[in-house]
Amino acid sequence: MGNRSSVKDLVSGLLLLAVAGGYYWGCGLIRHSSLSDSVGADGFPRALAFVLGGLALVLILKSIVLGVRACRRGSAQLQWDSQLMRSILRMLGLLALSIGYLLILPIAGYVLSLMLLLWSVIVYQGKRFSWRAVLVAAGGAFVFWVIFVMVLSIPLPAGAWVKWL
Amino acid sequence: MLTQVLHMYVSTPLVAMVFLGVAWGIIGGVLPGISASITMALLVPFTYTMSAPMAIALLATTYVGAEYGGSVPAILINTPGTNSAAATTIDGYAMKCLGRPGEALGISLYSATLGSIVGVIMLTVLTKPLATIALMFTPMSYFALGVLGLSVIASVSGDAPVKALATGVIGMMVATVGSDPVSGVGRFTFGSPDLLSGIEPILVMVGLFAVSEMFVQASKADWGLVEGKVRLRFPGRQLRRRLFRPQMIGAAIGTFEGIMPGAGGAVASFIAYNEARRWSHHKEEFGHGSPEGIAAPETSNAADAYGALIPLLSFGIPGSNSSAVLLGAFLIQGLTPGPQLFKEAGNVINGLYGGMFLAPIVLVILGLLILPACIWLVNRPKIYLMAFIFALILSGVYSIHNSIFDLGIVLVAGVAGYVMRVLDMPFLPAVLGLVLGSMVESNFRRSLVLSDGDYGIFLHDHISAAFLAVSVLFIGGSFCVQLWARVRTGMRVRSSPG
Repeated sequence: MGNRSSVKDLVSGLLLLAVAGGYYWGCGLIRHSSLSDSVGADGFPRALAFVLGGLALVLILKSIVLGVRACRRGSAQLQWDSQLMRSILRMLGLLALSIGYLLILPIAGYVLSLMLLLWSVIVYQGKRFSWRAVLVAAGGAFVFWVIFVMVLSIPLPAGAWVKWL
Repeated sequence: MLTQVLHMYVSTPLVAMVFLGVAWGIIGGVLPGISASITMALLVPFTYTMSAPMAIALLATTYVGAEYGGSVPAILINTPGTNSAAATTIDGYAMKCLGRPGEALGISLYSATLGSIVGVIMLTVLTKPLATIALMFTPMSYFALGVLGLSVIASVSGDAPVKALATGVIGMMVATVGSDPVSGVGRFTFGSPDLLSGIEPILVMVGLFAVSEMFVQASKADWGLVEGKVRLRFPGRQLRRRLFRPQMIGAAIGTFEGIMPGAGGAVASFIAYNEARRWSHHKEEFGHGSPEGIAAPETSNAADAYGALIPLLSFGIPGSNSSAVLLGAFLIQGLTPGPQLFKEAGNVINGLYGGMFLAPIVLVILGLLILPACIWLVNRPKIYLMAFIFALILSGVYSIHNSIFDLGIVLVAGVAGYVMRVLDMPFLPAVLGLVLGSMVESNFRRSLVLSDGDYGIFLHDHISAAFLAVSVLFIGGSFCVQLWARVRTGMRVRSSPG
């Protein structure tokens, strides 16, 4: 367990260091204003970048120390975590479906895009293709349309195809 | 205040909002994996067009409903609907296995109602006096209050203080996006006009809590099913007398833990369970379907939900994920929780108190009425439920500003939340950093302008000095507690045979 957590610490540390670096680079893009105070618009963000960078280094050092200790005890072993990999792939799949929804929303409109999203998530989660799944998705999209557009009067995109009609 | 609240009951849709909030809370709490904060976050977009008192009452009562709802799957399928219902599974599911699920659900509902009554009394008694003190605040005091709020990170960090601090800093970094509070210069906007007004905390919260949960659930197996017919049964007079002591223990612990930022309902319910067992005359029944083992954690959960609102309303500090979501809803309505809220938006406070007073009664009514619907919902295939929850999140977020850009932010926050879950990084520090970051920065800089760059001003201001001292004590205390826990674990390991 200690070995696994030290790998997580190392990955966290490297990731945080990258975030700190990127954020510090972004601080350099902040314009200087004559209205600014002694701290400046970039003062606080720069301090945050340094703190995060320091914390990232602590995490990296901690993980290295734990890893070296595990090696000395002979308990160090890197295992391929297939369950985690599967979880990441499943997450990426769901993320791709959501991005697809964002892309088609202005073109296909709310009802059609939502129906496609509902149907694709249902199929993605393991339901075999069936007319029942299509009907559930269509019914669900209609119910959402009634709630959001009819009841709450929210102007959700009608879709570019409406103009062609 | 009482007459104003009574007037609100008849002249506004407050009663309907309470029914709606508690019902939605119970339904969300019933679904395993959908915590109280997620249930509230899902509802936030719908509140955007509502008046502030109705929106806040709706969300606050959702919190109460969700804390009870979590006990239903805990008792029926041994899966807690919310984190804080975990302690209820021990004796709740055991009682269900003894063929008494209705009795277990009855004790749970009865205890949740009692905990809510105690909680609402404490909320009314404690909040305003604390807020009155906060009226004397200067920019230095607000800076120190922000630091005190951030010091909560020390108590929520568990065994990963560095990661907790780091996520707190990331939250503060996100809060710096947008216009600089002093000079108005754009920061980290990269030329995008959508980012000029900053990133709304609620979008990040919906992403962190709800979307990341969907990402995690995408690879998880289905949850269990409820077998047979279940009918709710309230405890009789004799049992009610027996339950009184564990319920009072639960109420006291729940309220205290709720007020203490960062402690959390799950911790409170386990402590309440443990203390109820310690003071019980029927210790041997615990773990085998003890009614006291259900009553103590359930009362604690309900009281904790109310207690968590006290630091939020008095000082504007969210002590839990759910109260952080409520803070986000306040901000959407253009309100800042804290002492000024009592002066500037008395109707919101009246609506909130009115809703919270009514919530225990509504909890009993709806607990009885919608139990069959809840059981039906738990028995739906997870495949369909997930798709509909996901669609609800995306539709709801779009309706906040009718913006696809907001959807993008929520998805990015969702991916960040997923990565944080995988790497065992806690969420609450990030949320605290996000909501307190701009308060800390703007008041720090205002104070320095007032003092002409003299840092000593933070110690010359008495309230600021007191808060900073408490923050140091808070961080030091958490550090000592963690150190002591490690020493004790080390001693146990050394003394254990083999």
